[in-house]
Amino acid sequence: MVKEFDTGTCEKISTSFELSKNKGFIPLFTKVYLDLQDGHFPNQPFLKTPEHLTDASIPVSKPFEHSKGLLFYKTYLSYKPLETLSQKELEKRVNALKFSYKVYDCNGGEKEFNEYDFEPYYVASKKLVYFVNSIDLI
Amino acid sequence: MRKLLLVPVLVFTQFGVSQNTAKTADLKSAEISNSTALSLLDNTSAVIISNPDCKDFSVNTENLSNISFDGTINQGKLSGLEYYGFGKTKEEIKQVTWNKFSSPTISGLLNKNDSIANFAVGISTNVVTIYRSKGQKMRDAYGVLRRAVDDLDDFANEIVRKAHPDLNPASDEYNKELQKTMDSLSTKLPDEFAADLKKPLLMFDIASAYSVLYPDNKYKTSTPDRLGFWGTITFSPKLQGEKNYLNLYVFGRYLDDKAVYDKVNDDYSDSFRYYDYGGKAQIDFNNVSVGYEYIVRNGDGKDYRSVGFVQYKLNTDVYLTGGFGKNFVSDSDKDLVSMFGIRWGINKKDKRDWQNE
Repeated sequence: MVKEFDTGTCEKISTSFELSKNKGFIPLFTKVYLDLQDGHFPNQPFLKTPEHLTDASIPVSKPFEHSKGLLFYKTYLSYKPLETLSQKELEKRVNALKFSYKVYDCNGGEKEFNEYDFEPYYVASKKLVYFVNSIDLI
Repeated sequence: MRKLLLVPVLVFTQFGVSQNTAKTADLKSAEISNSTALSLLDNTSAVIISNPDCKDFSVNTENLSNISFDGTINQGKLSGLEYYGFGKTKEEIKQVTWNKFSSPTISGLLNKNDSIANFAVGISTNVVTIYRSKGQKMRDAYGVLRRAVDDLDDFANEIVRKAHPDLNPASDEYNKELQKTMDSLSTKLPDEFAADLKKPLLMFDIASAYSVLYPDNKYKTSTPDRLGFWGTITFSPKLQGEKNYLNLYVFGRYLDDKAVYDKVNDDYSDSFRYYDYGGKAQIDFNNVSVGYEYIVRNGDGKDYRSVGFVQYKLNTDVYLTGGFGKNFVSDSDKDLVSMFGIRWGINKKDKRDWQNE
């Protein structure tokens, strides 16, 4: 399902991300990209989890110009400490994770999205799992 | 007749009796066998256990005669590393944490048959956890891991972009390629931080539980059964090899049993107090765990329990377990423990199937 955020008349918006119900994963970081839909997806994120945080969160950002583009989030977790779990039990813990993607407009309004896109991507040899999410800014 | 009717009660409540009379436990039973309430009733595969898991509240209702529940209260949001007793910032990563104390796990069970019901509740928590590395070393290790994954992500993205310039990085196709690329790279991520979290050097857990009997399934006939308090220290020095550990457990328990079978009067009026102490040693070598548990009983009745066990991990999901030894003597004068079983789909704890004689 395409997730959309109506920016209305706001030239600038903000965003944040928070993870919860984390039972044993090592949260690493979340990167946020802003695709201005000009044919060039940026190589570098414009937001990243601050170095001092260990929860892979994105604190509420400063307002940024969006040009009705696409917000793209990517969150990495390590499941190395849980490697003795069966795949079934691991997936159960992944499915129990709660995701909160928020976008804020310039008038005090906000919208929360709790679903990530597609399925979790497991990188088995590195004991990593990552999640992606896109929000279309209209 | 009354004695016959109360046999199931003995099975469930008397020290060691459950393990002396039960046949092979089914895997559902194994899944909940670490409950504090069950530990009080000695209806578990191992008396000495360490159970730091944070559990969602769940109720197991195979039928209305056998209901159990457990769950960790006051979990908080668990946004960062709270599961390990830390928090959401690097500064909160420390070698010694007392934070898990405020998130105890409660458990309970109701077991009922035609003649009697038994209700038990328990609570357990971790008092302190000491990790094997200093706080600063752990904070550095976290930072190193994070940077390594960040670099890996950048490198893999670069490869996928070059190989598939037409794919949108927000698409499923692109991310499946990225996933495959990251998986195939030979980069080895630093795992010092995960190793620290996975196996703390020392844990001290405490627990308490209380049980009540309802003979004839009547509320007004309720009689206090057992009250217990116990503590377990788990010490896990590392041996040579990445996955090799020696786990040493020290255990102490006070137990007040108010419903002990009195052979002279043929009723359950005897009240015994037990003071148990003992230990367990377990060595984990890659896929094999070998252990031995010994508990001495003092107080109103001297006895001991001496059980050795071995566990072999066939693969991630399937374990073979076996053990043999002497249990506490039951009212039926049986004290032999033997066990053999297979378990799968559950994480690695002191959970075993039992077959007792």
